[in-house]
Amino acid sequence: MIWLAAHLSWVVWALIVLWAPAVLYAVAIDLRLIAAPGSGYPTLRDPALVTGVLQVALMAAALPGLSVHRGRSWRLLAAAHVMWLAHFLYSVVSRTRLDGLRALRAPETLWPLGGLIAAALVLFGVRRYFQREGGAPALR
Amino acid sequence: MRRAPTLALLMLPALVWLYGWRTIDTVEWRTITAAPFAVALDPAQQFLYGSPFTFLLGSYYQRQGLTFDAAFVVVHGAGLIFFAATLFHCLTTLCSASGRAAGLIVLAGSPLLFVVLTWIGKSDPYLLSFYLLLVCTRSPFTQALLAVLMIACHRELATAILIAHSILYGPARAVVYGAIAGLTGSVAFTFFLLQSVPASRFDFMLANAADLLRRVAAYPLTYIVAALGPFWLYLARPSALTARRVVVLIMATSLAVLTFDFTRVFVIVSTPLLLVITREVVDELRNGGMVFWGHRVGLGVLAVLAFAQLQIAGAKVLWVRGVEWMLTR
Repeated sequence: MIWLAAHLSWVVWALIVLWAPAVLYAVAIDLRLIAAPGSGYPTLRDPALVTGVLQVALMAAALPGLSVHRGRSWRLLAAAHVMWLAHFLYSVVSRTRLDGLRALRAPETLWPLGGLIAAALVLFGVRRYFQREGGAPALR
Repeated sequence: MRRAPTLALLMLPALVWLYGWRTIDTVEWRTITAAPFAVALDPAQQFLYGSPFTFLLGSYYQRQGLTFDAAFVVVHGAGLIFFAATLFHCLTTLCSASGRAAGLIVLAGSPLLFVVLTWIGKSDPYLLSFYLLLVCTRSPFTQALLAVLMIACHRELATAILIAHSILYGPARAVVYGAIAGLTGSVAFTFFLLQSVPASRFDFMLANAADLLRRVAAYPLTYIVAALGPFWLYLARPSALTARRVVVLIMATSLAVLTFDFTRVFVIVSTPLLLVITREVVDELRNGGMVFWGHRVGLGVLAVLAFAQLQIAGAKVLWVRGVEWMLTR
């Protein structure tokens, strides 16, 4: 856990690089900057898009304090995790309405669920290294 | 040294504009990212399956809804930004904040920036970035992880860089373990996850070795000079050439001959050496200037020297935009 706490900013950077392009691409489609079929919701009202944008924005906001282990950064990451959970629940409910209960056993459900659990374990595991408001010296 | 940041700011955009940028392997990119576990390329290109990092990343973005072109721009754009950030971080660590800009000017004397900008489509920016981070980190676990990522980017070049690193710095246990784990993962990917086993680079080398050697033997000096360009001035000094460094140069030359690539392969394999020399030259510049054949040379001259790079493409020697010479008539 101490390695994860020391390198959490790198992990968050990697996740932002993985997630932000898809979210920004979806926003560009929603704003009709890119010609592609949209979600059917009015512009910027799709719950999946809103939670996705908020999640990435909260993770980006957490970055500046992560390397000095500020408590505020941990709380922002926890809020991003809640957004991810909301996004996941919305997606699962939508898929279940379309495909029935078998959607619960689909890889599209199980992989994000595994990711959510792993991220929650990491977040709570590193919490004690992010207690100080002013930040702590870099962990070795 | 005080002028270094201004010089670097003036020199770098000019260097990028004059030497240009281009993309490569876009067709192979489309084919592999569309189905990364199916071997669909022609045998001469199948070695690309052994270095899956950027292809898997591109495939992931396409599954997220991005088009081929958008995924290409995102993966390779992010690679270039990552390279710039890690180079900044690495030069700050090696040369300190006051020597960072001077380090950049010295390093610009090698074709490293040219390689990153003119082979957009290869995984080189990621490979080099992971290596730059490996040089800066002290955590053994992080070093091992970065070695694994390097091998995922390019199995053969990463192994060569890690060998060169071990020759220069001495073998670090974490790097060796990371390399073994990375190579094991790469072999497992190639033999078990892909639908069929792709042809390797060695098949190409063996099939073309005689022809490649003949082409290099015709103009050996031109190839060697173009390989590092003005950076040879820093490297080919009695004080800089130790036995370990000569071994690294011999290894880089051998690989360049075998692949017939005296720009990209030579420079990438020599990266550990380039960083060591850059740090030494920056230290000399702090003490009044680099000593070259008994004369002290300042940073301004080194910035101009960076523009004296030559590249070889087939039978052509290329300089800046549109300026080229034929090797044969």
